[in-house]
Amino acid sequence: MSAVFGDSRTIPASDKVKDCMKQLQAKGLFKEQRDVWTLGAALGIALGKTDTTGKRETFQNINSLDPENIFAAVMMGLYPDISPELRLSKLVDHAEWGIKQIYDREQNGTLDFSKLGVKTTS
Amino acid sequence: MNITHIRIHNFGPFYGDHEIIFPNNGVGVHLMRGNTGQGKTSLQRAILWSLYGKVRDRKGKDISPTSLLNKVAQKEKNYIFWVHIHFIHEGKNCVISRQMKAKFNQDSLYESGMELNVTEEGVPKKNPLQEIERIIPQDLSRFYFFDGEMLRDYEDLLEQYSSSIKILKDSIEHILGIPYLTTARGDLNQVQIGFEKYRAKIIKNLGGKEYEKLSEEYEGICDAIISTEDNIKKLGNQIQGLDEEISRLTRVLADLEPTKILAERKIKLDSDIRLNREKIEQELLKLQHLNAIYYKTVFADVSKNIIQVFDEKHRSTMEKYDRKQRLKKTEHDIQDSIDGVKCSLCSHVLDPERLSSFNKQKELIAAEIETLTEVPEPNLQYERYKTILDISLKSQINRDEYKQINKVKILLEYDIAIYQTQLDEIQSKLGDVDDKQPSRIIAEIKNFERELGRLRQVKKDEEEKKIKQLETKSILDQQLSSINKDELNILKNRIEITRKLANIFDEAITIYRENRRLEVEAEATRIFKQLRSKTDFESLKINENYGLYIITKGGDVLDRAVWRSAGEEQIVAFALVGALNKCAQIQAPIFMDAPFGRLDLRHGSQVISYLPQMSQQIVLLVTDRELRLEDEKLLSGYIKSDQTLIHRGEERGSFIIPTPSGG
Repeated sequence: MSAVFGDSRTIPASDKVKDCMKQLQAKGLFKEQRDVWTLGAALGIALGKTDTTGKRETFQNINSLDPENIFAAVMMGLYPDISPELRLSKLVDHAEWGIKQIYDREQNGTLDFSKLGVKTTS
Repeated sequence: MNITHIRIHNFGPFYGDHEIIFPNNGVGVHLMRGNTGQGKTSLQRAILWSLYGKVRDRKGKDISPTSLLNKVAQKEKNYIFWVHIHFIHEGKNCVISRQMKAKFNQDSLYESGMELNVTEEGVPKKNPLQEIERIIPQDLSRFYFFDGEMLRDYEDLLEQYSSSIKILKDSIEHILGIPYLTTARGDLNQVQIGFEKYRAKIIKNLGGKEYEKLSEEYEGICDAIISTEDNIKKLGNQIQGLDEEISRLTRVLADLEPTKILAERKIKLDSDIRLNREKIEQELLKLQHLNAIYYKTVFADVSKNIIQVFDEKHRSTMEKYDRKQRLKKTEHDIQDSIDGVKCSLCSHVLDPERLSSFNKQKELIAAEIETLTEVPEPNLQYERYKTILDISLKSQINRDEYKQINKVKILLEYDIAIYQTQLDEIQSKLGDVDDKQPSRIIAEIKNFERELGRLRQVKKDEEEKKIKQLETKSILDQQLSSINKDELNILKNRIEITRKLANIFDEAITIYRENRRLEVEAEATRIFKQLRSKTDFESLKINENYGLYIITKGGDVLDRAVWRSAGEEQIVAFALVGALNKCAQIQAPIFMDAPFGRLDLRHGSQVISYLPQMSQQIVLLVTDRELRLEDEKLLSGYIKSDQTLIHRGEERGSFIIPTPSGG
């Protein structure tokens, strides 16, 4: 699967998102920060949303965040014709958006896990 | 004894000098009005302190002298307080004056600086303590100075197994004069033992080893009996002391019942909250577990679409590969056909036309194979991605699981909020009260009860020992009686007479006790009938332990649990107190502090109507709510004075003033 994300071994995240993950974990909603990351990334992918703002720095190892290569398979399916580096960057953008969403919803009391990723018809 | 006036100085809330006068030589009903906190209870305590030198609070604990001294006087370092009671007793003017004085505000200094005087017609009595005990013994004060709450002691007599019965029995027997006879009976016993020991001494002097041994044995057994009796008496006192302490603690516990209930409720609520928080923790763990795998569900739709794309790409690549393989086979077959139209020996073309056709076909197929050269091997990459996503889709979770967790969590949090509100209410009700006190008292009572059980067993053993000693003494008695000497015969007769006298006393005590009990029973029944509200009650029955029963007109003996009514119980208690005062050997005023607080209006009126008959002098310490205008009418003609207690702030304290007209 290394071809999917090229030679990259780690996934970066912005300071803002790192802080969001830390707080959500502290509230007891997630056991580990990587669980926030996977859910945030899945949310961004499901809704096709990305956030490209903020400087990203090393967060965690790819194998730790995607041990079953599920994200690799999805990203390969969504972005088959772009470079592995760009593909990884896209994944990070999705995760940035999704994590911020979860955090914001939690903050304003509208976080309903059962409806995460469900597209509204309105 | 009728109190004519009381003078108080620096006692409790009474700063400086205060005087209360009871006109008509104290005879009649005297009202002392005052709302809560004005000084009614302190006034009653001042009288009790003057009589006995100590007072107890409602929980039965002694109040220290430093707490009795007025606070303003304390600030002024004026460490002296006194109470003088002026009264008429057996037609003579008497005064009891007690004073406490100290250099510093320390309890021990007050105790040592206490002065007590009793005068009769201005002449000081030599033994003031003995004089007070003669006029109104301390253990009988409960029948003359009491509050509404103390009536509960007497209501306990309705509980046949209450520990307070034993203590009350002694007090009741005292007020009826029975101890005078029992003391005389004890004295006779001592006289008899004296004669017996003297006889043994004489026998010893007769000489001869046999006599000497017999008399030594006899003296020994007499001493042993005295020692055993002494032990039994001491054990009896210890048992009574423990009984009283248990009774006091039980009363304190009863007073703390609301605290106990609140404390138990608090513990339960604390536990419920803790339990609910643990359950929420469990729900959070479930949530965390779901959140760790939820991403597979969140992008499941995307995954499904990608699987279709991968499927398409895989099928497409496989189709090209299969075509290439088929063309290669055809190319091979054409080559075989080309080889077939040539001679196998000389390669001469046998059919040029067919060869040309085969070569054309071969060229076309080779060109088509050329177009498929970018598919060298079957591509399984898409198949692998597809498999990963297929497996991922199988790990989806039901989104309703979140709803269930949320629902449970909300319910638990709602319950916690309710419990917390209740807990806050309890905490505010408890205030500074020590909510662990009831459990401590219960433990203390259990310890005392264990000790009581042990002492009773020891006493029983001692009593059995005494029986055996008496048996031995009886055998020795027979041997001694057989010695025929004049002096011994005289002693023998004296011993016999004291023995007979003792028996007569025993019988007399039984008869006297029974008669007095019946007298109290009859009087209590008479009062009870006058005060009762239920017409189907016929009489009160008092058993040998002064336990009370109610007898109906049908002759049924009612159990307290059957007819339980707080109002009726208080009436029974009043009836008993009234009867005991009527039958008492002494005559003294009755001071009642807030006596009607626990009575309903109807029973209150009935008791008020009866009060003038209860004693020559009645002093009622009442609030406005307790004694209404209609109630005063019931006492019309009996009220001889009407005064009001008023508290004018911390600095000035309480005052006693004539009640302004209009109440």
